[in-house]
Amino acid sequence: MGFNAGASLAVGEMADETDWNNYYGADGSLTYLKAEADKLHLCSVTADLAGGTRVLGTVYQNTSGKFRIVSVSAEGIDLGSPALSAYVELADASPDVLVQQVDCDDSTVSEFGQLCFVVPPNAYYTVPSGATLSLIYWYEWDLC
Amino acid sequence: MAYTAGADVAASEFVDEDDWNAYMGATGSLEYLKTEADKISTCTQTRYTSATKALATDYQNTSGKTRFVTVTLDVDAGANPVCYAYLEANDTTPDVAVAKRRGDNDSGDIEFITLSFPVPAGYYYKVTGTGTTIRQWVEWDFH
Repeated sequence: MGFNAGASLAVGEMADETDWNNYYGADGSLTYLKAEADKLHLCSVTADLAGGTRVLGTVYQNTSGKFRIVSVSAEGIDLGSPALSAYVELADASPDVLVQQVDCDDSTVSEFGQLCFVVPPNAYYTVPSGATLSLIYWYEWDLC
Repeated sequence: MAYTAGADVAASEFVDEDDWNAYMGATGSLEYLKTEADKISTCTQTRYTSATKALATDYQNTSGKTRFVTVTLDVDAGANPVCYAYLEANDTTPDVAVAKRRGDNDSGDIEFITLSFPVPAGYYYKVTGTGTTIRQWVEWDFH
């Protein structure tokens, strides 16, 4: 199954079975487009990646070819005012564009913060750690 | 309007009006796909309040679409609650936590906290937050 780029016929030229089948046959362009259309509502979600394939302070790249939504929950473990921050950047393997930040100050009780941000296809992303944050949950959803 | 699955024609076989119309006619496959393509940019937004959504209550995304949920909670004065979002595929009482936040309003001042998370089509979800009140609960359904 594949998509065949459109090709025009010249005046007087007959469309034969190959022309027809390329676009409307069982493995033609329409079948390809139907399969793509059927994916529009799809969304996959990972299991909790915290402490496994995802840790604070490491740069990751979205190589899924899809838009990704990332949710990170962490605990502030410092009496100061640790910030839980997300950085996302295209074409930079050391992303430093701050896209979201929440306070995790645990001066009175332990503080849990959550980030939820979008990572475009191929973009790099990271949630820095420092010594003041402890990762709790890290989930990723890939939209189709 | 409906989608007609592709069917090959053999050499020397004529394409008649039925073949043509099934794919390119007024209610054929191309019209179907055009309608689907036009939905790509659509997104509905629904805002709920504590009168129409409740904490610690199980919901299911029955829209057939991917949903994005943002819940803003107003933390009671003197409270410092731990709040969760839960999400699960095939469990009507979801208990897999995907997000965790704490509100700290010991000072009795104003404290709002937000939990955000996607919900795939068909999944069950729930938000808990004892010692809080729903301030806004907004859901976006993508196509």
